[in-house]
Amino acid sequence: MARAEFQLPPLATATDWVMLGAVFLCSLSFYGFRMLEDRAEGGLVTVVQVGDERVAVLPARKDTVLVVSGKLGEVRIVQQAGELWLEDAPCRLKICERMGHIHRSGEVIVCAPNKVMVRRERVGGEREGTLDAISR
Amino acid sequence: MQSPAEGMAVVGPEPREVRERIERLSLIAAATAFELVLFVLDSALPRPIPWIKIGLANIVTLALLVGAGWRVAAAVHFLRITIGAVLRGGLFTPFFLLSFSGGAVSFIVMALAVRWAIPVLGFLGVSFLGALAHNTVQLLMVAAALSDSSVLVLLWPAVLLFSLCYGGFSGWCSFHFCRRIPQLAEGRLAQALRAG
Amino acid sequence: MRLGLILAVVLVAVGIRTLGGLGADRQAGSYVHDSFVMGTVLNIKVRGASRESARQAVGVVEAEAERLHVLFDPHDENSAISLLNRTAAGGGGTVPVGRDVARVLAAAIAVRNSSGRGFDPALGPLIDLWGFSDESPASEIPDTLQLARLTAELAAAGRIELSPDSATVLVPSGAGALDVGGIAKGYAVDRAIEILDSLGIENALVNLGGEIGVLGVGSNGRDWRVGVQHPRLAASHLGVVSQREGMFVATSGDYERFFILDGHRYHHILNPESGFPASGGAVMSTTVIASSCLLADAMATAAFVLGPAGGIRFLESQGAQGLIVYASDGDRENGEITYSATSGFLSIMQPELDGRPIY
Repeated sequence: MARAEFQLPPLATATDWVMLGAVFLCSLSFYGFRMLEDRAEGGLVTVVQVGDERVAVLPARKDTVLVVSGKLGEVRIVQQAGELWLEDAPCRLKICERMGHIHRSGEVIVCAPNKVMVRRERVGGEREGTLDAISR
Repeated sequence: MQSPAEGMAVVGPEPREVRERIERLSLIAAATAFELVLFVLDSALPRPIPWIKIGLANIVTLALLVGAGWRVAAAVHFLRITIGAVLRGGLFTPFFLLSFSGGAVSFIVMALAVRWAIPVLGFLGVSFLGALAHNTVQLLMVAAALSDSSVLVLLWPAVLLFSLCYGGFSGWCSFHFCRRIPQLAEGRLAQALRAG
Repeated sequence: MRLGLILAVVLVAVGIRTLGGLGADRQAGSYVHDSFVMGTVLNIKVRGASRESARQAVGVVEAEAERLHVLFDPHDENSAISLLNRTAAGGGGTVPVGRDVARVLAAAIAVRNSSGRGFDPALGPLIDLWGFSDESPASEIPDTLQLARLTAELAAAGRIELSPDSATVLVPSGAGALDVGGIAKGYAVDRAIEILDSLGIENALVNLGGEIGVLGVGSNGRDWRVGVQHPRLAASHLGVVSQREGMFVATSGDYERFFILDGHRYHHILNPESGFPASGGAVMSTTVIASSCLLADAMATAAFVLGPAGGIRFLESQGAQGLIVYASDGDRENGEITYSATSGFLSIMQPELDGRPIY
């Protein structure tokens, strides 16, 4: 049985560089695009979701503290001067607190065990079936 | 035929397979211990996105995949995941499942890449694919837990970017690790396994 | 080499798709703006106009809403409404009014007369007594003697009337203080639509605290899609109204401003006859579609007070479309939810009482 001579593979091949470069450009341009979008003013909102339900949508500029009860317990959602963060999470690992502050459209803070998600979103890019307004 | 390693106490001539088994077991033990150290170090480092780890332990797993064959690498990789979970006190909890599934998928991806994509891909490419697989699975599980796929769209580009950095870093480490350890650099175990 | 190339192509393709998706959002040419006016959120969506013209038009609308807020604020002593109320307290008289006050009072008086006191614009003192006008939420039943006195005064007082040329208001002595803050929001929506139209905006939606008017069409050339809030499930709606130009939608609900005491819900929609929160028929919410938001707003309040049967008869008589959601067993908190509606409303929307998630 012929045995191929063992050779230590190279650190990086040309294909490696092409692949990594492409990935780098793709992900950077995604965020570049987001930043351009955020320059434009308009309806940036904070969406608070617990489980499957959107429990609150509020303008990103409004300074406020929301207390939301998730699956494990209450968590404080603080919005101040355009920044958004979570406090007093009941979960063991406090991952959501460690996610820090978010600002821009598309950024999210997720507290998975507590099933609470806070997200910045730009209203106006509607999907199919989205409501334009709620009469209340 | 290979001669016994220098410095080892040789108690008479041994059959080749016995010697190889001893060599393999000691490699598994040492590598697992090393992976655990890296794993603990990794857990202590701060992270930009909580589910995305640097994946330092994968440095060893990848080196083993290349230099010692998938069986040894699998043994070390899954031993590390299990012992790591025991050390952190979370065996068979949701966190363990999260980390186990990510670890399993990234191992499978790297093993396939080492078998079929080398030498088209090098250490950097394989390591990136492993990191990407691991982090994508983590993200998928989080999205499933929240039953909201929008997290996926929003965070995946970040996952790509971090996988690039961390995967690249551990790929580089892995290459040099592999080169410094003669057992791996010469690929004796890998060849023996492939032959056997 | 081939595998790496395939991977690179796939990754680039994924990247392009992601960017393409974002690009589509931008091309839709929608301008959305939220601001806080009149104690609530003003949300305006403009489609198919240049960003700059949309921004300017929205700025004009905001300034107008701010102006109306001041004009109709009963707690601002310089407001037109305060002037009327001082006249009532000081022995009555004739007060000249501007176009805005005349339009709002004309609608208020018309709905008051046609609904048989289901609606009364002079409820100000009672609303203040209950504490529903303040920012801090009310939490207790006011002194019942005082409540009875104010209610009796209101019933006995002469009614405010508008002169035939709409230039002056006849304020009888002792007429209750006007509080038209609620329907002033409806009027602000009417004005916003008028302004946007006059500025050449073709497609727009104006949503002031849940009272809605539109111009033209929404995304993808469809009618604007407006959900009707479920009165008990905060994150659900009852169904979607395809809102066209000339249709205005307003909803009144007992979930907006209320407090619960001993299991009973005390809300801000007061019955002018009793001075207490309207409870006839255990109505939870009313939604009215009319030819102006001002009218829709006043009629939604009137229909709420008149109850499931009387409210619908009233709306039919006015040629408006409406939906009244109420508890069939009279238990406003946990009762079986049902509805009554004008025949025309059901061809616009079929209510789903289990609620559909708001997204």
